Amino acid sequence: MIEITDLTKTFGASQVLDGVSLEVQRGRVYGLVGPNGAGKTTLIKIMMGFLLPTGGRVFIDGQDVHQHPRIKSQVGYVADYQNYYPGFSVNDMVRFYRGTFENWNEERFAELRRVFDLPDKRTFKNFSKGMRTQLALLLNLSLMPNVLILDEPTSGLDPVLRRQVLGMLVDEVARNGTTVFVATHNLNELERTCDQIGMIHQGRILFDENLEDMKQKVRKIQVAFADGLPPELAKRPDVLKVEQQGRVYGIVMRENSAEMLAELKKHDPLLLETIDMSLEDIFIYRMGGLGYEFTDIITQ
Amino acid sequence: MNSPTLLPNKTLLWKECRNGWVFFSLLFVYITFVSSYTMLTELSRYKSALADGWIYPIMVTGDLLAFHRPELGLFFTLLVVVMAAVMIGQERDQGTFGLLLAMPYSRREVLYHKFLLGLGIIVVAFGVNALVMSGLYWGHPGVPIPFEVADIWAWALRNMVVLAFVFAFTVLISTLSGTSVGNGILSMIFLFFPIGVTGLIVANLELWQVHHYEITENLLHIGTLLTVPSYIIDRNIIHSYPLAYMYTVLILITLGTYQLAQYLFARNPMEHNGEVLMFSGFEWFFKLGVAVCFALLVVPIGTYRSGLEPAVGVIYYLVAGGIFWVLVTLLIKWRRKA
Repeated sequence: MIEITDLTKTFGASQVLDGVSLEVQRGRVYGLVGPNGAGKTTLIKIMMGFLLPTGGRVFIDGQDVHQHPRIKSQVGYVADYQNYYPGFSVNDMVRFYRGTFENWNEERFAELRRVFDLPDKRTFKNFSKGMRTQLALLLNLSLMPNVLILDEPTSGLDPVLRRQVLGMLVDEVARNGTTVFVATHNLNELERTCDQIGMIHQGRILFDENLEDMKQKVRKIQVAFADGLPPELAKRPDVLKVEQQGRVYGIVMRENSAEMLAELKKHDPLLLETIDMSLEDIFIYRMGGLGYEFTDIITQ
Repeated sequence: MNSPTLLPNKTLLWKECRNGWVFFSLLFVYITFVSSYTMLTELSRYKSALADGWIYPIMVTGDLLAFHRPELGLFFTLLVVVMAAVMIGQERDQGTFGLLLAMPYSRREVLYHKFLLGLGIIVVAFGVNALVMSGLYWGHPGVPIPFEVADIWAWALRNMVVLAFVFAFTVLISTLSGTSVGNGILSMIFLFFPIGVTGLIVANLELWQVHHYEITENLLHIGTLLTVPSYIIDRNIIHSYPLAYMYTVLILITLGTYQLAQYLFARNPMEHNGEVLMFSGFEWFFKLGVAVCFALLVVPIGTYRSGLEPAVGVIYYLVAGGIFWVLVTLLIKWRRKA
């Protein structure tokens, strides 16, 4: 379990994190999304005890990471850009991790070793970004972590390996009940793997919600009428947007979709169905509701 | 908080050795064999001279023995400074502090194992060196070697104690800021600062024809005494005091320096992989120090035997200090930009 309370971090005059609080229950996958410079990597570095926070605390399984670094023997960490000792080979790194992490599992390592095709003896300085990420995943999944913290874990991987890695993460949670915290730009990846999603922008968590609840809160109803959409329905306060294509209307709305469906049925629609929205669409409307333009944030 | 333990972690120690084994091996071999090899060649030369019927001058033999040569002490100091600066700076240069501190190791443990390895190399290298030289001594009973085995061990012990301080001091400087090169340069400057600054004061006193023998001597003596590496460059410095007392003080200072390094490292925010200078609020103080020292150095050199008027001299000092203040400021700005 991860618990972050009122975390702040300043670099000189600039405030990078501003009162970040969140909680991830055991066995859940938390996805943190945000643009470059939003504070994702800084947050993760503080969670891992590398950076000291200006204020606030980070608890992993009830222990303060900065006070009790031993708790990190239960934590796997894959950085955005993995730095290992340039003169070390894969075998050296394996030896280092094996001696460091008490839960290191040889069977799991052998199993993963077959997936990741890495040269045993080539030194790390000759590794590409993709190979670095693969090595990091290999090492950190082999240590059987209770908590896995990942910063852009699939960057530098080809599409096949990317899919494999995401599968591994889901498998890890299912098999070991691992708590996963993943920061990424890629909303599609989050949609496939996460239970809970947080949005960080300018060092603040804008929202932090269960993915299913989020999907329930913003719904899209597709409806067609012979004489067009009754205007009073389009003006309801819970309607976020109405799109029209011929006689078919797409109504994006916030919560209360059951009530809206009942209202629509009263007007004898030719077509009436609820459509699942993509995470990206949900974000666009969710951010709009908070007074932010999602597209502006994500493309910064 | 985890209770601190003095027992080393094998994996962390292995990592330290593996990461810098080329440099450490070279340093170890050099320290171990530089003087014993010289002794061996001298003994061979002595023997062959005797066999040829020559009377080999013993005093020359004594002078040539490496452990009486002052430049060797300076070189050992430089090597140990480089070793400590590389141990810490390399983690920054490689960006691997992030990796280490994301593991279940405390900052205290990370620094402790570097300290342990550094001290280990110094102690073992000088220990082996003394052992080899003692063996050579005992292996040549007929040769009138101008020192005793006890002298060899006393020399080794002096080097161990002094270099342990040099190592701890460089670790302290390195925990605060900078790359390997920066750490090394800064450590050398501060290690030789007392003798340097007293030398500058004496040179400037002479420029203004303040001839007071006692003041000059005392200043230089204090400067030398505060310059710990000078103890292995000129053994007379330390030998004019009770050795047990001097060694006890040195060991205590070394432990204190190491504890201070631990304390500061634990509080280093580690931004940019630890490159942020702690106490950046004191930057003006360092710049002032550089400006004053360079003014004290440049004015006596530039105005040597020119019969300077005091009023003009003050202007010279201010101008030289001002120029160096600006130069250091520009250098810092350029470095940050880079």
